[in-house]
Amino acid sequence: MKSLIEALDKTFDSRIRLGIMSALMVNDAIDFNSLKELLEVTDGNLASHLKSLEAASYISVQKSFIGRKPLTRYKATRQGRKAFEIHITALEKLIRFKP
Amino acid sequence: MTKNQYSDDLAHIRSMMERSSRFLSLSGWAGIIPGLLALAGLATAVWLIQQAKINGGYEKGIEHGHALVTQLGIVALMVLALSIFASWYTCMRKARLDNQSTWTPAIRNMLLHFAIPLMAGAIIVGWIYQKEQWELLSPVLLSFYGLALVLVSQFTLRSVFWMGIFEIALSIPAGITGWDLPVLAIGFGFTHIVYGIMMFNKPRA
Repeated sequence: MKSLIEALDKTFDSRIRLGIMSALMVNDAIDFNSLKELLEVTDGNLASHLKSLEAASYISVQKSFIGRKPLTRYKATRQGRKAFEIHITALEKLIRFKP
Repeated sequence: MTKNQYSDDLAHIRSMMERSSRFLSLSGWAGIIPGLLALAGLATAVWLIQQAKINGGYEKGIEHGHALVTQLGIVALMVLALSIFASWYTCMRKARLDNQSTWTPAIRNMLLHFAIPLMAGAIIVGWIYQKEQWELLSPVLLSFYGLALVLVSQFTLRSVFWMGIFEIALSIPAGITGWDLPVLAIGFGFTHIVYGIMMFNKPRA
């Protein structure tokens, strides 16, 4: 049991980071506003969680402009996908675990 | 953390994946209004064909430039345009009521995957028109529309998949001489109306 818990990724402790990563697993890229609406969080809150995922190199950031409006898009990196899959597997094992 | 929290986490992951990749705010009206429009359009078509028969001109077979072909084409395009407008409007209204965004990657994917089989179908319809193979029109319309529904079901309610399979299956009887208009009425009229009513009974699947 203990080793299983250790297999969980601390980065995904937060529901918001877990949500961001889930959405990025099934979409090529998502922009900031779509993520904000999806997760129902404030700008500042979302930005700080995105920063920590970026710091872990789990997501990559793409900045561009549509006309004069800035558009920030986020993608899951290969490393991030791998880490997320390991995390899900660990969760599934923990649920099935019988002491 | 307890086991419950782990399964809550997994449930959260599943719901986020689904909400971010599927457009679930399908309105029942998006089925009912196009269904009624299709029935009205088909009734108009039957009336136009009967008028043409009375005026004699139909018996010789429909030819290019025949007024009937143009009239039927205009009716079909009007039904199509009004249906698209009604579905779009009612779905966007429902999305706003559900507090969902009206321009998401899921919606973009849905439109793209809906449009591709319909464009392919439009090319075949162009050839049917060119070669005057009118008896193929009904099966082609149903099967390509069915394919569009099957493809688009990845990005919206899963039950749309079964509606697509049903439309494809209807393209079999649609090829039988004399059955084309009644089967079109079932496929584009009644199927949409029934699906729309089901949508009201289970608002979120």
